[in-house]
This record gives sequence, structure tokens and C-alpha cells, in this order.
Amino acid sequence: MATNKRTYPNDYFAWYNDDNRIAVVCEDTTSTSGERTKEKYDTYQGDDVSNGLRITSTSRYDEVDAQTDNLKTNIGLDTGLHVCVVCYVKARLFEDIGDLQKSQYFRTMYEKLMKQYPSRKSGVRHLAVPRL
Amino acid sequence: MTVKNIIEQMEKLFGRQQEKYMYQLINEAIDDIAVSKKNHVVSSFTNLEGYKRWYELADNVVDIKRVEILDTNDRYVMIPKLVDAHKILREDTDSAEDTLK
Repeated sequence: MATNKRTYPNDYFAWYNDDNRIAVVCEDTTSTSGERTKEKYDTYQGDDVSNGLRITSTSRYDEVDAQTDNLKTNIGLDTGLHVCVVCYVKARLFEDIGDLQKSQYFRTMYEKLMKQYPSRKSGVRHLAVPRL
Repeated sequence: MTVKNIIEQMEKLFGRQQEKYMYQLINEAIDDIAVSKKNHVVSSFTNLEGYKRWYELADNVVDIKRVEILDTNDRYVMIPKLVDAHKILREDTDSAEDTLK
């Protein structure tokens, strides 16, 4: 009896992608095929599986469209990045009124804050203990 | 911080601005942050279908981090990415037999 390929998915399945699609292929283990070409991978030919594929990706945030939208709770933007949004908007508005010097200042500040985030890269918290 | 907070800050500096334009600028900022920091990670689920190779990605996807298949023990298992996908000769796309010719 042939092994179900989903018992050990990482042994049989693989993926690749183009610009806007992802391809899931499966190792072709058939030996009695009338096909003229023999390849290692082919399209998965088993049964359909409900929610059988989980794709984890970095994603854009949802758009804001109301004054009451909270950047942290509604959009999911980390609090440390809120000041970056303010700098970006200021840079654009100064650009609109033709003050390129101030615009450049806020653009640089935006980029600097973005580089610095997250400020604690190690993820280790230190307690500030006073010397007695 | 709410969108209202940002709009109020801008009003103090620049006077009243069109609300829609402010939303547009804030969304552009948020988009720029998402693309450059790549720190907004989400997982999406879809059905694994037989005889289907290509699955559409949502518009908001920036970069794929991992792909997992639900195994027979109902656990998601990460599968590897093919680095030589261009060597696959058959580009069959769906269950219609004609597309396999």
C-alpha cells in the first residue's frame, strides 16, 4: 500500500512562487506511468483537504478610513512605530507647501526612527536595580 | 494613537486639511512601514485541492515566510521551498485534462 504523502508532508511536498501565486507540488512516486516525461515533482493528486494549506507571510496593514481608528488596536501597528507615521505625514505636508528643508528634516527623522526600531534587539529586559 | 490624534497634530502645524487626504497620507506611511520593516506577520488558510498546482496570493502579501501542509495527525508541517522550480517541465494547472496536453 502506498504511503499517504500527507503523513510526512515535508518529505514529499514542496512549494515555489511567482509574483502573485504560490505553487504546491508533490513528489511523484508513481512508477507505472504512461507519461513521456519523468519528473521528481508533480501536482498533488490526492483528496481535497479542508484548510489543508497554511501560508504565513508578512503582510500590509489594513487601511485606516475613520478618525476613530486606532493604529494599535484596529490596524495592529506597533506603538513604537506610531511616531514614524507622524514624521512621514509631516514630511509630506511640508513638501506640499514647498518647504523642502523641513520636509527633508522629517523624512530623515522618519528613516532614522525606522532604522532604530525595534530599539531593544536582544529582546532581553534588564531591571534597573539601584546600587545600595 | 488614533487617526484623530494625528489629524489634530497636523491641524496645529498646517491648518485644516482634507480628511480623505490625511487618510491617504497615513495609509501611505503604514504601507511604507509594512514593506520596509516586514514585521506584520499573518497566516491564511486555504483548502489543499487535488490536481491544483497554483493558489492565488492575497494582494496584501509582501513576502512569504513559510508554507505548511496539514498532516494526517491534524498538525501543520512546514514544507521546503523549491530552489530549482524552473526545472519542472510540466506546467499543468488544474483538473481539466486538456490543460495537461
